Formats: sequence, C-alpha cells, structure tokens
Amino acid sequence: MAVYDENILKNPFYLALEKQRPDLCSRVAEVHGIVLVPCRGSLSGGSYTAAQFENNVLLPAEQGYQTVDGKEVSIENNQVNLGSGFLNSASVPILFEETFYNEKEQAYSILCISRPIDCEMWSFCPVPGLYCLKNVEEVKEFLGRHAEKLDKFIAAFCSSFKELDRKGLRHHIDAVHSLYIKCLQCLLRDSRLKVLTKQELQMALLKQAVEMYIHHGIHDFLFSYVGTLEASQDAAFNKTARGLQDLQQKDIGVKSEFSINIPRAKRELNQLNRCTSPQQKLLCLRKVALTIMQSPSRTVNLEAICADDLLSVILYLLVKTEIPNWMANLSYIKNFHFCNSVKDDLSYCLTSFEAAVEYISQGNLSQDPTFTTWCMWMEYH
Amino acid sequence: MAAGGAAGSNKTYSFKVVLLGEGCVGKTSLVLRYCENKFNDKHITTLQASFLTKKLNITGKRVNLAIWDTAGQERFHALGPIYYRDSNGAILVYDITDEDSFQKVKNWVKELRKMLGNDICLCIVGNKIDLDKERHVSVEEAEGYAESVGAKHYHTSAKLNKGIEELFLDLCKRMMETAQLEERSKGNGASHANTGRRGVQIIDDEPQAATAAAGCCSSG
Repeated sequence: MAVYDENILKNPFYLALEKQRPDLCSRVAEVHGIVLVPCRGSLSGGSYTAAQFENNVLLPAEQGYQTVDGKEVSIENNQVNLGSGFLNSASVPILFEETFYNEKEQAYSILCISRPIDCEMWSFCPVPGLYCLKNVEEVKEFLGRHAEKLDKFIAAFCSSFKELDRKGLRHHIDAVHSLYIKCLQCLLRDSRLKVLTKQELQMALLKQAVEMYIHHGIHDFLFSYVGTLEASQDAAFNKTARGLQDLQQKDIGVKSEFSINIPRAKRELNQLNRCTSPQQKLLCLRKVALTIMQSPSRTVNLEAICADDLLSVILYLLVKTEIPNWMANLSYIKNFHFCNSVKDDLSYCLTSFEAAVEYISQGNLSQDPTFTTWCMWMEYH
Repeated sequence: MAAGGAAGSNKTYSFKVVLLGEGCVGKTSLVLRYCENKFNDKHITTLQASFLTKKLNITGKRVNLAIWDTAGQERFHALGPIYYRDSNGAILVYDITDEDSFQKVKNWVKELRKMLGNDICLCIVGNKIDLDKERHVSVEEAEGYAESVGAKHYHTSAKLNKGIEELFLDLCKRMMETAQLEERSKGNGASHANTGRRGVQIIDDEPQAATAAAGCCSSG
C-alpha cells in the first residue's frame, strides 16, 4: 500500500530544529514529548523563528499537551487541535507517527502533519493524500494518455500467448514479468514521468498502475491458464467444502459477536472473481477482513480481535461462499504480483486466507479431534 | 530471503515480527499496549490486534515494524509455517503463572529453529509479572532456557505497561544487526543470482514470484 511517507531526518524544518535548538530536542526526549513536523511539501523554505520552533515542540500536560511556551494543544482523531493561547483554533491532520530514539535511548514521538500549524507564517500547500489505486478506472486515470503506449505490448503478448501454452508455470511467470518490465521501461523514457517518479510514492503508484493495467489486459488468457493448472486441486477442495455445508458458525468456532458482519463480508468476498489483477484481488480480501473486524457500533465493546478470531470467520466464509476456484486465485495472486511487499497488511490478509484454505483442504474441519474439546472449552468459558 | 532492508543510511529497514503463544497469555494486550495509537479514536473502537505496524527511528535509522499475530489455538498449530515464513523476529509469550504455556513456548522455539534456522531473532517473554506472587515458572529456569537456545528473555506486564518498550527496542536493534550482517555477506559477492533481471536499477523490489514460485499450497 502506498501511503504518505517521508524521511523526517531530511525534513528542512526538523533539520533546522535539531541544529538550532538542541536544547529543545533533548528536553522533548527527556519527557517523552512530541515534535510536530510539517510535511516537506508544505514548507516554503527560508529560515524559522524561535516562536515557530517552540510552537511545534509539545510537552505532556495535565490535559493533553502544551507547547514549550505554554499554549494548549490536544490530539485526537488523527488531528492536532490548537487550543487556548493560539490566535486561531485550527485542526491539522496527522499524516503519520514515528517514534524516535536518541543516543540515550529516550523515546519521543514525531507527528508528521499535513501543514504548518501557524499557517499565516508559512505558505499553504495542498495536503498530500493517501494513495492507492483501487480499480481499473483509477489506473486508467492515473496513466492518462500513457496507457496507449502499453496497449501494443499487451496486444503482442496476447497474440503470442498460445505459444506459451505447453510450457510450465515458470515460463508464464517469466513472460508476464518481462512484459511488466518492458512496459515500465517504456513509460520511464518519458521525461516528465521520469521526474515525477523521483518521488518514492509516485514511483510506487506507477508500478502499481502498470501492473494492474497489464493484468487487466491479459487476465482472460492468464487466469484461465492458471485455472486449468489448479483444476484438480480446486475440484478436491470443493468436494471437501461441500461436505461441510451443514456446519454452523459455532461448530467452526465463530464468536457470536461476528455474526452481524458475516452477510456483508460474504457479499464482499463474492466480488473476488470479478477482480482482474492480483492487486485488486488482494484489496478484495482485505475488504472482507476489514468488514469482519468492523465494530458493530460504538457502544458494543469488542474484545481485541486476534488471528484466531479472524481465521475462524474466514473458515466459515470459505465453506459458505460459492468460490469454485480458491487454488487458482491463490496461485494467481502469489505468482503474478510483482510490486508487492511480503510484510504489509495485504500480505497478512492473504496469509489468513491461505491458512484457512490449507486448514480445510487438510480435512481438519471435518474430523478434528482437538476441535471438539476446544468447543467444550469455549462453552465452559 | 527475509532480508530486512539495505544498510545504507537512506534506506528503511522493514521487519516482520510474528507473535506466538497460547490464547490466554496476554499476547494481544502486549502488542496493543505497544502499538496503541493515542491519537486516533477510530483505532481504539476497532481494536484490531491481528496486524499492527509501527514506525521507528533508532538513532537515525528508520525501521518499519509489522507485527503479525498468529493463530494460537491448538487446532491451528499446523498452520504456523504459513504465518511465520519470511519473518525477521518472533516474540514467544508465556504466562509466568502457567507452566504449561512455557512448555508451549519451548515447542515453538524448536519448530522455529528447525524451519528458519538462526536468521530469526527470538524473544521469549514472561508476561503478567504483576502476578508475581502466583509465579509458576522460575526466573532462573526461563532465563537459562532462553540462553541455551540463543534467545533473549524479557519480563513484561501488559497491565502495568512494564518492559514492553524495552522488549521491542531491543528486538529491533538485534534485527538491524542481523540484517547488516546479511547485507555484508551479500556484499562479498555471494549472491547476484536474484538480481539478474533487466532493469534492476528501476525495479527496486524483487519480484515475489522469483522466490516464491514453489508456493505454499504444495501441501506435500
């Protein structure tokens, strides 16, 4: 997932603070305070006044925080709110938090905010948003006229797809990967795109866009190929799952507080085979997971949701949702997703689904001796 | 394979840490305490504890930490490898008042060492030290065991928020050392095997497919 990020150690405001006010830096660390750092794009450059430094260093107070010169600040709902002492009350969105440790291992928080809190002194800049391309329409919009350049590569790939037919999965992965590299290189020859992608976030988005665009173009060929490879495994899985149709939520260990979210989670999951790219399929799985974990209302106090809870609900969804090609979907996502990370939240969702599919295919749900004991334990508690 | 990131000062380390332990040892409270986002109400109402992230900056080096809860119920035991593959660190939690939970930790250690070798940094954590009067696992035994398997031992209380910061900071520093060592040994020329593709200078993250082609659905 591409979200706003910057290296605070290169932020002009933070660098100036470190250099000109080491006293403030050590003080904030001693009391585990907070430094507000306006994001790079919102800074106009030039020098900063003493007041500007002091307004951005927050020390814990009885209620909320106080700036070094005694003004009140509260932080909630991912926003910094200016209180008494400031000329105007304003709310500034927080982009991200980073916990800093100095040489003495004292910890303090950096809150990167979307603009300086005293706007009048600094130039105003648009807020950097949180970005992620969710569907083909967004991809097309992002690529604009550049998309046309990719069409000829994709068409050539599709027309030569038959030649790959008798070769194995490995060949297909290599072929799609080289198509991806070819398309990316072609776009990066454009000087304007080249400049734009100097920003890490833009580069990440471009990669995502190219990959999703290609997958959309070759999906019909590629996904049905993967489908034939996994056909027998899918048939076996479906047979096992059909045998479990009569299982109820409590048989699978689904806690009752999740029942309310299940119909919506099911609807989300039913979108899986409409997605054309691994990225979109991952976003779909994530949406399912988020739907499962959504708190039904503010008054209901859900206990912390852990991996066991999530897995139980996913097991139930797998049994009760008509997705006839789980193995093909998992193989497609894992083998043809090139610009992903194995450590992000999408990857965690994929892992949870993989674990659930594995659990069912091993036949554990039908004949699990420890499970009956576990159910009794649950009832006992 | 699970290299945490480049050693250059501009690069950000990215570490995956798995959380292992029985259901009632308090592993979710532990990680929620650590990642608690004081600044976001929404976060508190969902209390999603299965996947959490945290950004750190340890004396100038950036670290993105992803903390994965793993299925801890006995019936899910066989699914462990699906969760802990590619992880840089593992936090194995037991309850100091429950000897059985310590035994479970020992089993996990054996399995992790067998599957992932010495590349993974292990932390054994005795939680609930606020209940020290009911302690059933002695400090000497726990620390002695940890040392014998090349793990570090910590005592924490999620309830009192004790020892948790230290645990994670220490783990991060160890993972950074491991990543630097790996980086250096790579620098000695051992592997350019997985950077042989064209256009490597633009494609900074290696394709997953190249390393994970065997997939994990191959249940054999």
